[in-house]
Amino acid sequence: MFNKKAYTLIETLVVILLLPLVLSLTFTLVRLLSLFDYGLITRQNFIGILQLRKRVAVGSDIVIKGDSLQMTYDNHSVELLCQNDVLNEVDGYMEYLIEIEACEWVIRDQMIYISYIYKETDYETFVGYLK
Amino acid sequence: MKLSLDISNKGFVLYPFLLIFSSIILMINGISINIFQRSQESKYASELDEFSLVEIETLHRVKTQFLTFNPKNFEYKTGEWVISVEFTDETASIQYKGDQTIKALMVYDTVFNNVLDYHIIDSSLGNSD
Repeated sequence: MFNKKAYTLIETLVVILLLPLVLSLTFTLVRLLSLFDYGLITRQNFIGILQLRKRVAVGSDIVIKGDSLQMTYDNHSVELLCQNDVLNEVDGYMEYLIEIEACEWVIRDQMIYISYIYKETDYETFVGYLK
Repeated sequence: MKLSLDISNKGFVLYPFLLIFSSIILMINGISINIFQRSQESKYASELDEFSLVEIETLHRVKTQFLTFNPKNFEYKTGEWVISVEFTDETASIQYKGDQTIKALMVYDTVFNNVLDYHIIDSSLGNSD
């Protein structure tokens, strides 16, 4: 087999046909991969939303004034603040959402939503009940 | 004029071709595993999201019960989850029953009307009864 000087036309044609097939498969898979690519910040913000929901769920006497949400938990006052690019807890270290823009609390039908822009996409996520 | 079209494949060498071909196959294999892993992660994330919504709905109902000053045990079903809540004084024992059973405890202060503590009981995680 290895004494052959060259391959037959059929063998070469098979290789020529096979390569684009393999390359197109690779290209499709890479595109699929980018669809599932959430990125680290998106993951952190997802966990942040879960924690935010729980935080709001255990809070009482919830009052929203502008970019601030105040509530009571364990007989202490807790304030969550939508700042320029972050939603964090005042007097705490928790940052629920990072690298966001236009963060805003929205109240609709006694339900609280958080609206923000992340990577030029608008999000409005349900976070809990007002009462 | 002699038209010569060289379609010979003398330049084709087996080993570099095999090297490139097997590299591409390995790359495809790696990417496929990555896609599978991320789709699994996405599925897990949607389960977490669903449980989060179930959890806040339950907490809302429990708080509403405490606000009546006469909380009554209740059970309700939402999606795949069956949630039962039992009250003992100012403590509510919550049981989320779905693919797995998760137990949680909420302590409520009926004097100042706010939650003192809420946590999922760690030992209940991982049970699949």
